Amino acid sequence: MKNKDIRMQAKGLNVSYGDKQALFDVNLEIAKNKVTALIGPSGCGKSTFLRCLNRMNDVVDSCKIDGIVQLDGFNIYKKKVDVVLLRQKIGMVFQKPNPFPKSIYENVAYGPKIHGLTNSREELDKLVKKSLNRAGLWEEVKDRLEDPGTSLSGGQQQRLCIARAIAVTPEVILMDEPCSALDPIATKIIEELIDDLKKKFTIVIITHSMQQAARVSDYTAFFHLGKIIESGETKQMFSNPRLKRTQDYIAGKFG
Amino acid sequence: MARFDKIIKGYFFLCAAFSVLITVLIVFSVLFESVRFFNIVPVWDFLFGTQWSPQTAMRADQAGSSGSFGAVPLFMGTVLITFIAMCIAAPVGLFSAIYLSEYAPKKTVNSIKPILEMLAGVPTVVYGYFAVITFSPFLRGVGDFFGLSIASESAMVTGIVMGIMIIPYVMSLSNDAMNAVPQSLKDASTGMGATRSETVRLVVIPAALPGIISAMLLGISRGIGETMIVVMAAGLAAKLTANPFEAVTTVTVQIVTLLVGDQEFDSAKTLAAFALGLTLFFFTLVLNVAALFISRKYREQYD
Ligand SMILES: Nc1ncnc2c1ncn2[C@@H]1O[C@H](COP(=O)(O)OP(=O)(O)OP(=O)(O)O)[C@@H](O)[C@H]1O
Ligand SMILES: [Mg+2]
Repeated sequence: MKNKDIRMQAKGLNVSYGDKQALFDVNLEIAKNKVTALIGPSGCGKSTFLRCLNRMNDVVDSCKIDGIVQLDGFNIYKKKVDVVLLRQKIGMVFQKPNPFPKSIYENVAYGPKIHGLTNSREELDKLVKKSLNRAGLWEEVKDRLEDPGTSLSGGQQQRLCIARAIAVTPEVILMDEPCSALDPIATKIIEELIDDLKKKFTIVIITHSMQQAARVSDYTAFFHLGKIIESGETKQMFSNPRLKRTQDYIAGKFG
Repeated sequence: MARFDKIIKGYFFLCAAFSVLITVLIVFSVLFESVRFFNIVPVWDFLFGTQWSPQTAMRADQAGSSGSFGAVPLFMGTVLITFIAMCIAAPVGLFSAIYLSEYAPKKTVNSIKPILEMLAGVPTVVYGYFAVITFSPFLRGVGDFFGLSIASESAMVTGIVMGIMIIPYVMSLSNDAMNAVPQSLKDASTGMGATRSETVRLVVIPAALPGIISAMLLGISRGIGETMIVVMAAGLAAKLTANPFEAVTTVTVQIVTLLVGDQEFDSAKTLAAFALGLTLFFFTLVLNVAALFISRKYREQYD
């Protein structure tokens, strides 16, 4: 990968919770405007790695992080880094849809409001509309923006969460199993959305579905027991993995 | 086995029925005595009269030989003291709850929470003692220094000490409400780049608000019904005043004074205690039901 194509990069990342080490010397490059999938059996450290990318692990008292994570060549674990600004640049979508118990409008407006991104109500209205549009939800909710976000269906809620995340115009969006709580149709809609979003954003997605990884991602990293076993282009990895263990996992022989 | 189950079930039912029955009986006896009281003193005079002097007259020519039973000064006293108490308990309780649920490290929580909950177990007579022996002289000293005259049995002293007593209730209940806010919502907010205080202000408190309100209502109801502290630290004189540095009396204090000592059971004076009890019961019931209603409605939100 050429340097200018790399948006984020982890170098020698070691993470532990208390005495228990969860990641061992993880190195990974995340390509700009591409989708990178993280796969691997449960408990192998995918979420831990993802949460290191926007310093969400800072809130976990017992979590110790050692190593370098760069965003555009800049180490985000440097002392002076403004975590608030960082998390504006690197958004996150969670496994279970978690809209705030506020209106649909307020959910999307949450980020812009706390970061003071807009100067007037009209601007904010526009931004909310744009974000909902981009998350493919506008048509479904434009007449009920004042309804609570929790009144939507699961798939709509997840798209609302995506709209909420992109409302602050991040550069990277991290998704931790965004479809695991959704039915196949809602999943398909989100997958198409991801395909569309990568034009503008860099996306890292955790998934337990090999089909999903194959469908949506350009690059894949296979985690096992806290280490990256193999990483590379998705096509190559799924058709012709270098290691036996990768092949076995993709074929569903363990995990 | 099925038969044994049936017996056990019957036994549990009897226990439950017993406590319900007792409650109903108490309510009815209070109601019954109150009706007798209202036959002597009109409801209107009781609820809106401003003169409280239940003493039976010494001489026949004295005004109101049957005493006068306008309870407004008592209501006002109760309201004033409870208001002062909540001015202390609401902010302190709420902020310590916020600290414990959002800021304090686990270790601190585990050591502080039991202590605060122990505070809830201190007998109120001890608080009363504290108010009379320690706090009242202290506050009067402070008042003297600023040229303020504070009665030794002021509403202020009583209210503040009652507030201290209520803090653990408010704290513990609002802390529960905040802990019930799902971690996923806090994560969502943090993940958007919100600071901790923004998350507390914009997500945790709004989501926990019904629980916090019901904690406040229960605190108020606790204050209204509190007896021992006010008997010891508040006054007996039924004066209608909003000045917190004067002595006031409360509904509970008057119930106690009306019923202590030799009683004729059908004098208006004795029956008045039941009427006061009924009023008290009514208000705390309304507050408790409101609290229950609010927190129940809120619980459904996350299911
Ligand atoms: N907050 C935490 N405190 C302590 N240990 C943790 C914490 N979070 C994760 N771990 C541990 O770190 C290891 C990696 O967990 P992680 O959540 O990253 O796995 P994962 O790959 O995301 O699994 P899954 O596919 O089930 O989500 C696990 O052994 C887990 O028990
Ligand atoms: Mg995970």
